[in-house]
Amino acid sequence: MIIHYVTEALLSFWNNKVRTTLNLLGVIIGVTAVTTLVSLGDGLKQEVSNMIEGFGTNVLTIVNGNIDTTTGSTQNANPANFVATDILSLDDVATIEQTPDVSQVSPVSLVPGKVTYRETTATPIIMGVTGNMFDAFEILSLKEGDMFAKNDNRAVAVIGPKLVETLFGSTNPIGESITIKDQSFTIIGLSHEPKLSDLTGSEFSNLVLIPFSQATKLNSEKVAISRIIVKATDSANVNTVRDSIKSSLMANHDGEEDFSILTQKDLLGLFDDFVNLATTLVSAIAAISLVVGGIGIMNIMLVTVTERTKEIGIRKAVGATKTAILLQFLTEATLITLMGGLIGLALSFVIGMAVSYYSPLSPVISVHVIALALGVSTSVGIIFGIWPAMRAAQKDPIEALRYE
Amino acid sequence: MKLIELSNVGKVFSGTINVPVLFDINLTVEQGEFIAIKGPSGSGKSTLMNIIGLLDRPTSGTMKLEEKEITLDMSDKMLAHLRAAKIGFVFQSFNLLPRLSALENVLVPSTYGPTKKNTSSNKKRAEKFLESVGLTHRLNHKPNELSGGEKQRVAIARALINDPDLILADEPTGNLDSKSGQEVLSILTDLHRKGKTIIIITHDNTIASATNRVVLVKDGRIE
Repeated sequence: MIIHYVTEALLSFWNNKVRTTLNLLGVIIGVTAVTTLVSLGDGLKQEVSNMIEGFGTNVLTIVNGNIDTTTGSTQNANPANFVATDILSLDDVATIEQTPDVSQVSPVSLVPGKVTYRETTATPIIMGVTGNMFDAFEILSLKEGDMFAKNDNRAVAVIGPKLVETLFGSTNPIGESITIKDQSFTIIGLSHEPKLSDLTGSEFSNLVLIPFSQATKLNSEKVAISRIIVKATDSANVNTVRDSIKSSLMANHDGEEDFSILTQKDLLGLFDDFVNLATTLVSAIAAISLVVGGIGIMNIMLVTVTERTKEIGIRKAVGATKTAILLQFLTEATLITLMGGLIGLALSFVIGMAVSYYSPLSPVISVHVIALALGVSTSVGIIFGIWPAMRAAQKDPIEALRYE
Repeated sequence: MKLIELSNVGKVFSGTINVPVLFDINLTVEQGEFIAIKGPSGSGKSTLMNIIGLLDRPTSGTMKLEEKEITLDMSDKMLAHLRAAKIGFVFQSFNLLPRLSALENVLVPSTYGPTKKNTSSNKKRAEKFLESVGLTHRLNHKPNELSGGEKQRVAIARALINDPDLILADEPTGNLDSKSGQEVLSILTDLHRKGKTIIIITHDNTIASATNRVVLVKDGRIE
């Protein structure tokens, strides 16, 4: 029976090509916009989840300020704490080193400023770290030369590949000196490109690593820890390690929880929440075009029903029930939106391919995006087709037969 | 068997003023009869046809189809099913669907009737009926490619597709030249010979005289 309604509907489309095309267009634009945006959001989440997993699932990051990782809310904390660098201290680092099941602890101290080599200046990220940084933070590793020792005090540096390219070109930088805040540092090693994609890893390529004590010196003798990277012996221990660090640090901080311990799962959760919110907002705006398209379809369906009054009368006289007429018109409306949905989906596949070709982002068209596109377009057809279809079904056969 | 039995049937169109159209109609049509309902325009014969054809409900009296009462509270759906199964309509203005070919037009009632699932056998029967009205060569023509007489013959084939007991023809020759009118009338006469019950609504005496019984309607009453 449905096949019969579908062939009727296709015949009607064929007889009203222009009208059908314009109707399709509205749905196509809406579905393309929604599916493209959702797949971009999914692609971004995938990317970030790969990045965070690249950090290692047994890694914890301790930051200043209290973030509620279950909701991402920072309401109950002083926002200044998040940019503060005097909450976490070297005592805390020592405490964490004593915690069972911790294999590596590396505090990170950021240094503002520029890097100069002869006449060339660059603005990489300057990080003061302990010599075990590469053991704690696995996306970075040594490519050439040496890493400084754990508590090295020398004015030496290890630099990332992007900075090498900016400052040295094809010259070998090992043994050369760079200047940070009038202090000269000898380059002793080079790091690899970070084990991340271009999109999320580039900042770890334009990088200078210097011993932690040198960073303190550059920061006017002030210990400024922006985060502490902790590696647990095994990813199964991450939660126990987090809990013991939390209680010992709270003891250090007079019982106040003015820091946050983020596991990779927490970070992922925070980011997913953000992307979900952004995707939902933008898709909702795009969905408005679907509503507009739907209203257009309703308008045309009402015209169609009036034009075909005589046909409805004839069909009813020869035995069509109200349900049969209703289904005939509803099939027509739904089929057009479903076709629009399929075309829109195909278009967003093409757009997705173009985006991943021309940019580092790869949109993910998942099963749920496909289901969303087809579900939404079918619903638009049903919602905006039902009223015209009901008007058709309610027509009185005698009056409809008299209609010219 | 009594195919149609109307007892004291009346019809009033209600609105801002009530317009009575039919009064105390008593009419019995036996299975296999060939009758004409004749009357001037405005006599109420179209309303009578709509009631017999189950397109409209009487406001008083009772109506029986195949000795079963058609009650006032019968659902629209029930009436639609009865129309599909028991009644074949032939209209003055043909009422073919312009987008569909002759064959597809004949098939329309079959999609609502008792055999709606047997699409292939329906198609064979549609071809057979079109052949019986001499239109084998016109199967795939649209209505606008057919002459008036051909259109009416397609409409007769359409009326036959669900094998109804009753063919209800409302001025079937009204829009036709006399030659085509004769052809259509002889097809209907032929169907009567094969056992169909046929009611023709007309004001044409030559058509009426071709039938076995003439019922005269005047001012909403049978004379």
